[in-house]
Amino acid sequence: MLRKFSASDSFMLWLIALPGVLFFLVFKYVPMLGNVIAFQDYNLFTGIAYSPWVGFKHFANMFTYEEFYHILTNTLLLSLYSLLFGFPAPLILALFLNEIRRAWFKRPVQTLLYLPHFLSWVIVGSIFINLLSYDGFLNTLLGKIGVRTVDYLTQPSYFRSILVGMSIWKEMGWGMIIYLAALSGINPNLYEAARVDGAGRFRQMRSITLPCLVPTIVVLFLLRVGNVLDSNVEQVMVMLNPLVSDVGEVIDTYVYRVGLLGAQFSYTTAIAIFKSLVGLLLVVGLNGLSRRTTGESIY
Amino acid sequence: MRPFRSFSLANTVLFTVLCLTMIAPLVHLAAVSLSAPVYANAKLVTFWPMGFQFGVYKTIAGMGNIWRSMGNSIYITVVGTGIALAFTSTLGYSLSRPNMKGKRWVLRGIVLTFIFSAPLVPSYLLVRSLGMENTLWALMIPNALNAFNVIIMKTFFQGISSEMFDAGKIDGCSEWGILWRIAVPLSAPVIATLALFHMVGQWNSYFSALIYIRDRDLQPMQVLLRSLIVEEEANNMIASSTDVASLMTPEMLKAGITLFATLPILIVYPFLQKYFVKGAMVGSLKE
Amino acid sequence: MGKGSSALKQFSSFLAVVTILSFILSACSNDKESSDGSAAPSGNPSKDLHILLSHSNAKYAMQVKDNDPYIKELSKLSGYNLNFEFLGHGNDFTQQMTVRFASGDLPDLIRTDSIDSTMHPGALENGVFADLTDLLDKYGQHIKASIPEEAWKSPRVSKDGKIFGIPTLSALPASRVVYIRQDWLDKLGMDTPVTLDDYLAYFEAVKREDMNGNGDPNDEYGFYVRENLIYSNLFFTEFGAEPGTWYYRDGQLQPGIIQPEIKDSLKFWKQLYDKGYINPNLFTNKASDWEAGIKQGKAGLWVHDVTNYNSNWGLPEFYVNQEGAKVSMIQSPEGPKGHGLSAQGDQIYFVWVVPAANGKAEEAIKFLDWAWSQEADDFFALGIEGNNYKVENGKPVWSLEDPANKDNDASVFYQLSINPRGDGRMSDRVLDVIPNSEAIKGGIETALKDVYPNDGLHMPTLEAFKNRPELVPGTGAGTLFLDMFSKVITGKEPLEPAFDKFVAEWRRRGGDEAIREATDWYRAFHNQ
Repeated sequence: MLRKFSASDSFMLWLIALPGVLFFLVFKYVPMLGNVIAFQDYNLFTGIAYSPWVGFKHFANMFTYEEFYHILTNTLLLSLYSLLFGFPAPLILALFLNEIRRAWFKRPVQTLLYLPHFLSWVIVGSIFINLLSYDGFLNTLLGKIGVRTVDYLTQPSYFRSILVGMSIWKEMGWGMIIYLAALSGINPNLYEAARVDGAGRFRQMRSITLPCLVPTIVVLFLLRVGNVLDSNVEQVMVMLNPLVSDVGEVIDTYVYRVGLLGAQFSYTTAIAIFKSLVGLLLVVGLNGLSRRTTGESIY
Repeated sequence: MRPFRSFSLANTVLFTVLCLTMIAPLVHLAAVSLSAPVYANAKLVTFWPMGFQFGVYKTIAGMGNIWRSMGNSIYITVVGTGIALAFTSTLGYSLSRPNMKGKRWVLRGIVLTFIFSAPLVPSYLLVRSLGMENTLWALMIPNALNAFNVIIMKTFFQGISSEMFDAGKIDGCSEWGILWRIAVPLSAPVIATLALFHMVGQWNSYFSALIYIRDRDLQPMQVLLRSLIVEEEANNMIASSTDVASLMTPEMLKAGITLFATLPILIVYPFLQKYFVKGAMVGSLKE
Repeated sequence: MGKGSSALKQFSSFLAVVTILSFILSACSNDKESSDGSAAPSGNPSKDLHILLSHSNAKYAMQVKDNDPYIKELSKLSGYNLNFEFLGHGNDFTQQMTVRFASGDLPDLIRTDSIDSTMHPGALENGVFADLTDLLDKYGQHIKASIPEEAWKSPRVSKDGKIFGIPTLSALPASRVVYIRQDWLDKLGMDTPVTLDDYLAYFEAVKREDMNGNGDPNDEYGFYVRENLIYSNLFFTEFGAEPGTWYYRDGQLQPGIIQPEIKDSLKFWKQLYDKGYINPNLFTNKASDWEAGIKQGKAGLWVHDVTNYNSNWGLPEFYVNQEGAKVSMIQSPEGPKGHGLSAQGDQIYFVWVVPAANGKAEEAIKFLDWAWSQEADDFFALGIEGNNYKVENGKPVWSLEDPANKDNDASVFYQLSINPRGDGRMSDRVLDVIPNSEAIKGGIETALKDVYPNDGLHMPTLEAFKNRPELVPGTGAGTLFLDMFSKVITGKEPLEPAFDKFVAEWRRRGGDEAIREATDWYRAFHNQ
């Protein structure tokens, strides 16, 4: 049988993988060891070898910081929102685009959809500020039909929705590309067979397209979850103002502000490690869950 | 089939509207970049230039080493992407094959690098000790591989029906042969996608050049362009200490620079696009 | 699948070729390493000086090429073979400096913000910087003569009586002024406002009338405010306490944010907001929108620097659709407890340090001393004779409109970027030749009158704030004070209880600790 794995196959595969594996060891793992400075009072001039070890001091500082649980909650909520609404957006877009059959329309549409990806957050921010401010486009428009003026930018209740909405608008076209690649890998015979069985477009989407995309969806989702405590600092900083800081301050903005008061390498590394540990926990948990339910896993 | 036609129409309208919202900002930036400073700075320009002039683009074209920097950017984008794809596809392929022993540990190790990042100073010292500081290699090698791309590549290779591989085995292909003759040709869409992701990353990269490159002749274009855009100070605590010379960047210069930096990518995209559009068409065109 | 795969084969073989090619080419690009910088080879290596600094967002410095004529000229004049390496600005500069110090590979003269800057923590303690005290006595007569005594005392420059850094000076001791639309005042028949009531009367008139003549009487605001109150610190010192300033009161060094006088400021600001005298988007008004608003004619007055008169505010053509727009630079209002716009500062723009390991300390001091001598005055003000200016009848003729000075802001390059004395854009010699010289000189005097004392002068960043950026005094983004301020002004919280709650909260979270630390520092510093 072909299923038998030969030792020489395995050796060959290792050989093929070798440059990549070595790369990860040298360029990722070696500098990653630098994370030990979270357990030191790192001194730039004496280096890791001679900096004093302080154990969990920096972690303790982080957990005893008054605002910590507040910004952690804000970070998690923002992340949850963007997972809930932002994650499916490119997938839905790709599915709908896939239903367009005229190539002359489809190609330019694809190009146009990802244009905003190339705009910086400062520019996108100023677009949305002009749209949503008290004398902005939206208020002018709604004012004409008699709706009361609301300064959306300074309302805490709108803050997360605005942020998630901006991200969806900016990134869904770009995120869609990877799904398009996956869609193009689906065997056309499957659709042929379904049509013979009399399945309509929606039926085909549900029973062929979506199942074929599951591996991609699962992988993208798990990787996204790994960075659950990361926020887009640039974006948040552009939209943040004192009237929404109760919901807007996140871990990354805190790290940014701490950084302004001086390069606290050890402390900020400790925070980064904490963020990563939470991500790791979620990835391991959800990966196991996915293996049992969908059969897909990233490792 | 009737209800489907109305869906099709709605779908077309939806995408048209969506596209309009996405192209509008670029049209606006183009109009601003071609306007006279006084109107641009007062933010009175919408979609049509006021006091039409080309000054911004003349300024950009006449900037220090702009063409040399652009050459550097093209070089690190093309070569860097080539290196990245070579590394990513080989590693991704091995990890997708069931007969590689111990691959789960490798995968775990790779996922870990996705979650944990390295602090700046050790990364810098590594590049320096490898002798890559102040060479273009520093902008291409340390970021050649990343966990995201490897895992995506592996997933797509796994999606290729195993019968194809088995057939290759029967024909006497080695694993190396299967990679090049079967896996890679069948994965054109994902390779094009990852190429695009990496190219855009390389083209826009800025920070590693700031850290690793000292020689002015080796600076990529983004360093030059981005340094011209003075973002407003996020915080007045630092504004006073280092910020005497800076004013706000005139609006039209900001707009012109954004367009100038983005255009090459927009030109390249259609060439890559065919690799994944073509595949996608196969499924839907056969009515 | 046939077609697709052949195209892909082409693509991948192309990539393969490129990859191989690049490995071959790498040999060439490695050679580049040795030929770094702009200095021409010189006979005497001790006269080579490698200088590391920031381009500070100056256009010319960002794009400087090899063999730059100004650097050449400066090398010729000073007798040193100079190589300027310009790093980035702001946060970029910080990161670049940090890795540079981590590498240990340091040039001869480095620009930093302080000898114990957080860009290179521990450098001083580890003996990285040369002690310049004796060298300055020996070779630094011009330096000593030009820099005020006060600046040498700063902990940014010296420690335990030893000097480790050479301070460079800001363009002006104080530069903030109130810009007011003179044409609006004239149209209203009003005099320059002096008291708070005058200001309020002006604001009221601006609100009532359609000052910019666009048909809408409601799109002008008396006082145009920018987010986080950047360049908007009016109506604080007038009532006796400025948020970011420290006051030595009752034997304690305390920040302005917790002084009871702040309540009067809050009351006043709330009135401005309620009556529509300030723009309602004051908490989201970004720098570029702020500038745009002023140029559209939305602002009756605003706060900014004298230095920007010629570049941003002073000329009528800066304003859109407003015939005869004219601005004046005036003093801040006289309040019941005083006035003031700029806190008394140490006037240090940045600090030069000299790494001890290079053994170039003596040459570096000699070079800097030359730069502060009269011999260098002309170059740092007017540039290269024959290129940037002419001498007629013994008097220099220099014009900002001359392409040699204007293109790429070339004048900023020799007045500021490569000027080791600091910011020379407002030096006497420059002031004599620039346009609107009288107005600017007047503005400088006005700004000087608006300096108010600061008991926290020279104080380093307090340990108590390091992990708690929200406690930092002032109106910075993310601070507890700004949160409270915004809620009170917009009427979301009542003034008295909100302020009291803020003070209690600030003290409990580490403010008391900060006051203790600041007081200890104050006593130690002033008993020296």
